[in-house]
Amino acid sequence: MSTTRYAPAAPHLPDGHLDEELILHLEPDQFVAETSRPVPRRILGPRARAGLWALRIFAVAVSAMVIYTFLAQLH
Amino acid sequence: MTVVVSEARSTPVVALPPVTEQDAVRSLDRSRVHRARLGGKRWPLIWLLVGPGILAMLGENDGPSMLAYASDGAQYGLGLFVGLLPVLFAMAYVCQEMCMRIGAVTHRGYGELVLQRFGPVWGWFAAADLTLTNLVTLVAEFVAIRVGLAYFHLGALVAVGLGLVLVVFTFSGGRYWRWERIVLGMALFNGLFLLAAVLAAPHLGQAISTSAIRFPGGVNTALLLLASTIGATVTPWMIFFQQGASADKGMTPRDITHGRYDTAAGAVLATLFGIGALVAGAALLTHGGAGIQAFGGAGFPDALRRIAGGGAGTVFALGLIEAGAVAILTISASTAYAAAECIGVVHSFNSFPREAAVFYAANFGVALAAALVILIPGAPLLSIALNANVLSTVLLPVSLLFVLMLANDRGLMGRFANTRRANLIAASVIGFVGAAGAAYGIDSFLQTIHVIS
Repeated sequence: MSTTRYAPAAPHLPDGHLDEELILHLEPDQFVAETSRPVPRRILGPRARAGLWALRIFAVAVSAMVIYTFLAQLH
Repeated sequence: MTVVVSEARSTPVVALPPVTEQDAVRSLDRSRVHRARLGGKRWPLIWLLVGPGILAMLGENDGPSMLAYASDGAQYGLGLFVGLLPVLFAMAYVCQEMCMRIGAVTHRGYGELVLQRFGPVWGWFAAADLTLTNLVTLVAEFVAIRVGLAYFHLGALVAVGLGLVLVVFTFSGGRYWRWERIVLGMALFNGLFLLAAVLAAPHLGQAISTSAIRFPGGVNTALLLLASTIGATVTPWMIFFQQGASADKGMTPRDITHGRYDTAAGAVLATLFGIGALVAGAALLTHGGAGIQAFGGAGFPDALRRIAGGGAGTVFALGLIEAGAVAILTISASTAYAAAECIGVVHSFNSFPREAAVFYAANFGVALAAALVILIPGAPLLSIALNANVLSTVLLPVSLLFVLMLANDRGLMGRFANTRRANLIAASVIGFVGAAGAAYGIDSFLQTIHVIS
């Protein structure tokens, strides 16, 4: 278990479910309250953005070819 | 999280955040891991921490994949594919290990991380890719169950009912651990393909002696086989599933080593069972592979019964039912993780349906939609099944690139970020997958519009 120590009060524990000692087995950043907070947005450089868009357009184009071939084979 | 300082000691004490039912249930599982680790109990710890890796790998040994391996064996023998499968599952390990690591370190699924870190456009693109490929693949899973059941003279309605009842059954309990253990128990029956190989082995004879010289004829056929076989080992749903399941299971950075064992064990088992299907199929090599294309009936198991006996046919048919059923559960789960993560609502099997309506509705809804397709009279099930893996291969490089970017994101991963060696291997895998998928897509398209012959 991590070395994290929690303050004793746990007013939000669901009634009759767990004692405080048990809930301490979760890591601090593992609680739903923590994972619900969005991670900060990463700013991509222009080259990275262009590369991602190029790959995305390429994947869509090849997918369209596969789907067209699939439909053509049906006929 | 609020940090306060206790009066007795100067060590900072972290105030407990609001605790949800999901936290409470997850902490139960984590307390068992903690006790096993403290007690130095090696095997119980492995037992507690395996799951997502084996499920992702054996889930990908799904109905269409096993039919494809068996078909490869029947047409080309053992020579080419016995060597190719371990390489492809090694590639799958490289991709899945990164997903497990990201899930364990960030405690978040792939969909929400892409959406939050790179923006909603990329998040929704990823979810749309996944939904499309999952829907097509799920149709193929129901087809596989139908092929297996047809051997026992049971029809499409039974296949639909069986698949949907299983999805609903695994929901009960509101615990990830329960869901995982049920599906894991079912997934081990993927080993039926190994048994089918053993039963068919006495009939291999000439297949082994002639298989070395067999090679797919024509560039397009070879590319189709390569693309569909890659699509049978690494797919977008595995990425969403293993990262989401690792986070849902409550894995932490301390569990990464066991997560690697789990993923490696899954890759080894999937390779062995895949080779089992290949070997069983190879028994038909010198018999023209009679009836193997008949997806609408009991094609492959019935052909195997005629050549290798009723035992081999029955085991293979049961294997197909298992492979389809497990894949329906894991692929539906990956859709649910993706949908709920991108919408930003509860996405955990540690929640009851009343608390996670979107998650469970997406899980059941995508399975229901696929099930309805196979009930449409005259639906092109064979073509759908054959193209499902290819479509996954074509869309996979974009998903893998984001996995690589997340695994290198030191702001998220800290010291658990990829090493240079890991990056080199992962980049090679992405390049190989992208080239194979694109080559087939472009080549077949140019043939279809008669630009090349």
